[in-house]
Amino acid sequence: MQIEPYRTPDSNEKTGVQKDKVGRWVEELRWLGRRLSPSYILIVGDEDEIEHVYTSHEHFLPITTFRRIVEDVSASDGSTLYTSPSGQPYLLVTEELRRTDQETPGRLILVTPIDQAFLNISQRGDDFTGTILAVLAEDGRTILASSDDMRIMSGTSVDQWQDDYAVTARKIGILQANAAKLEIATFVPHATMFAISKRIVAFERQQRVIGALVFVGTFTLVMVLVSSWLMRILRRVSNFARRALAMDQPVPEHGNKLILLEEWIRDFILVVKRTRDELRREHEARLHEIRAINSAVLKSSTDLIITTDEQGRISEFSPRVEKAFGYRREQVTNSDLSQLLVDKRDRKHFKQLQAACLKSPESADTLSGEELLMVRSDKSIFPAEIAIIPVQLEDRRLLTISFHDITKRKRAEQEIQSLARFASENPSPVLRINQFGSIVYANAASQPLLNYWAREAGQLMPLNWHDRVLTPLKQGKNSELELTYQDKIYSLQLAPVIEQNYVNIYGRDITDMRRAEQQSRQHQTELVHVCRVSTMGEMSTGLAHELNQPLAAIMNFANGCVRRLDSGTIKESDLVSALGQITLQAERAGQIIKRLRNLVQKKLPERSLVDLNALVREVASFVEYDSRKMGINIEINLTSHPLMLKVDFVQIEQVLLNLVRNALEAMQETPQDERRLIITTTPSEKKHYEVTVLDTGSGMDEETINHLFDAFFSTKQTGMGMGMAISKSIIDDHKGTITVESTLGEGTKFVIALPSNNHRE
Amino acid sequence: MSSEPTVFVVDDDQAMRNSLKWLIESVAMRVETYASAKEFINNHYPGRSGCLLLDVRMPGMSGLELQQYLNQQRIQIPIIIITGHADVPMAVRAMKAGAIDFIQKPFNDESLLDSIRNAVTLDEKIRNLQSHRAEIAQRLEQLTPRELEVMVMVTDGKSNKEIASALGVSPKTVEAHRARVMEKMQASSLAELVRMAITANIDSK
Repeated sequence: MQIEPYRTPDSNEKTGVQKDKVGRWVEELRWLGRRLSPSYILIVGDEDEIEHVYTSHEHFLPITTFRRIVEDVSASDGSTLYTSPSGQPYLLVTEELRRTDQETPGRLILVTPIDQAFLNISQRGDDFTGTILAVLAEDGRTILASSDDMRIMSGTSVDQWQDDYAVTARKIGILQANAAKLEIATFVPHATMFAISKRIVAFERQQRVIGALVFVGTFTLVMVLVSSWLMRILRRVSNFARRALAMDQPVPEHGNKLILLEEWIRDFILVVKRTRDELRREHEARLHEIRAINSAVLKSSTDLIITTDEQGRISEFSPRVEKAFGYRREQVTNSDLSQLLVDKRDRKHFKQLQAACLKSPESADTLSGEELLMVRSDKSIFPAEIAIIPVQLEDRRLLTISFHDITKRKRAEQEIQSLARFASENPSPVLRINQFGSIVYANAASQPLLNYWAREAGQLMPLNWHDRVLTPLKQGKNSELELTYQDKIYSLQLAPVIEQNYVNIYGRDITDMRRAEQQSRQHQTELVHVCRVSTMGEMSTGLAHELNQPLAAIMNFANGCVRRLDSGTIKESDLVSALGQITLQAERAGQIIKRLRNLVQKKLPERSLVDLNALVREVASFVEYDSRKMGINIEINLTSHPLMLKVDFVQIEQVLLNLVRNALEAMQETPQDERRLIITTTPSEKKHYEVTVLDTGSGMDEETINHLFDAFFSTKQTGMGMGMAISKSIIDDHKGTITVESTLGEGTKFVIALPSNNHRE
Repeated sequence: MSSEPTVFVVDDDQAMRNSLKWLIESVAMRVETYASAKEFINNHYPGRSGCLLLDVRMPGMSGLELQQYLNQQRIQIPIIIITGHADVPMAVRAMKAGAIDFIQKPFNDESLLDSIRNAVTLDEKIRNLQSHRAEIAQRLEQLTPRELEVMVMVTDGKSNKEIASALGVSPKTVEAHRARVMEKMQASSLAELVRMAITANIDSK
């Protein structure tokens, strides 16, 4: 603490007591609101000499007392308690003082009397009425000061008040670092004590009641919560049981479930046990069943099934294995599969497959489609297709390997391969065309055909052949085509393979056959020609006409005679002349009949739809041999489209052939380089189709032309004179016309017009 | 007017021609024969009465073609077609083209001669009708236009009064016209005049 130096006016009076000169700082202390203020403030020098004493007290202590206080303080450590001779205790507090005006340090000693005021202040806050504090003397009995001097007087002994007050005493250290202790007694009146004790008892009872209530409440709440929780669990358990076990639980919907719980739980456990047993039985039964099925499958399977462990040792196998490989069960079991049953060529491969299956992840797919050579006990070898199925057990992995004997399949494959060579070895062309017209296959013999098309295998067919070849595929019917290439005639059989969208073409060189056919046809035609000429039925119309002429004439002459004789107007010479005429006509008729001796029955006409152009081509081919012999090339000018007629084509051919033959014969006298025979077909405007046969032969005079179509009219020495008559009757039959233009020495043109098929419809 | 009817025979067969001539002449008819259609056309002149006996089957121009030619030339002569027994379709065609009959060879002489007689009679009738028609036409030409008008109305069945009011003249004038018409047309009665009008194919137009 640092204080302003303060000097008394009288500097000599160093230890003078300055009662009225209390320093301003003391006042300030008071002003600070302290209730308690030191009664005296002493400033003590280095030598314990009292320099100043400040007091606001009117009651002033003798200087000796101050001296003793200083002594006491010096002896003690700081603060102490001092008891005046009159028994008034004081509290002394000392503090080092550093002064600016003096070299030596001093001390400040505060002296505060412990009296009623002091005690009252210290007791502040204690609202127990009637409690009195008192400071006891060192003997512990004498009261030095009390907080209520009126009731407990100082100087009295504690024992005097024992009856009225409950007295407690204790020593209180005034300052912490100080040994000095103040013994303070507390006087509590008995009445107050009693009241307090009563209040305490009441309070305690109250607390106990509250405690009990709180406990009961909490407990109840906990119990309610726990029980509702239990209830919920119970309900869930019972619901579960009801659903899972289809068992009625004894827990009622309402009411106390706990009561029934124990019994029910017992039932529940029983049911669970029963169910578990049942399940186990079922599971075992199913296992048994599966095992039975598996073993049946194993036994019945045509495949050879072998199970090996991870080392490749055989652990299990189907019964067929024994038979297939020729081992007994005990020979096979536990031996190495690859060593025992796989041929050494494939052993390494098989081991690789095995390893791959063992290594692959758990869900590995079945490895299948591999082909191996297997070896039997007698060292014979057979091919097999194998499938390896890894089976994952809990602690290890097994391999189930099935072997399928594919000896038969191999043989079949080989057979198919050898069959496939059939086509390539075929000396006739064999081709296959797919639905797009591409030549899929062509054997070596089809080279001429490929040359003809200017194609190679794998290329598309020529466009004009597309339809021809693919139409059979659309119609699903076989068909035949012919083509001529380099003096060779090929017949192509088109056989559609519908399900595979192919057309197989089987070619055949039919050149020789066709030649032979043509020759025989020619002979046949000639035969037919002869037959036709002598078939009088065909000419009955013309014949009847011919025969009618003389008959009618005879009748007319005869009737004329009769009438004249009847009327009597006849001269004998006329009659003779008429009868001569009759004879003449009868002879004529007889001649005709003689020439018709070989009468044949009339044939019914057969009509079919034919192409006029085709007829012309055919007729031209008939006479090809003859015409070539004569050095004549028959020129054929045909329409580009077919001219369809509904005719008896044999008859029309007959007519054409007749005309062509006549034309050839007519040119025998013609110089070789002038011989020309032109056959032309044209559709005429009147819905008729025309065929013209033009030659550069000898031609005919008018007389010949006039009688050309008469029967038995012939310019030939050998002819019967029927050819043209028959031709005319045939054309008439077909509702057609035949006309002739001829110039003697230049040639002849025959035109046959036949109604077209369209016209007839 | 009408000359003696003649039967014209066209057939390419000489024996047929001769025998037909012999037969037909036995009933006192004139017969002329031709060997072809061409020959007939060249030697025949229209206006000769009689009938034509035609063979359908002939070289060159056939019977049907000749028939066609005559039709085209408007030469009217009744035609009898002679056919072979198998030529019925041809005969039908000929009948369609206007032939009056057809006869199949060999033929019954009676039916042939009947046919010829019918044809000749028909020809005569046609010729009479034609000459009658020509006569009437000649008479009609003598009428004045007014007289022709009156005649048309009279033959139409109208009375004198009606004609008078239609022409705007007095009935007396009509009466006079009418008398002259009857005289010029040489009609003895109204009925005859009407017949003439029908024959001449006159009508009110």
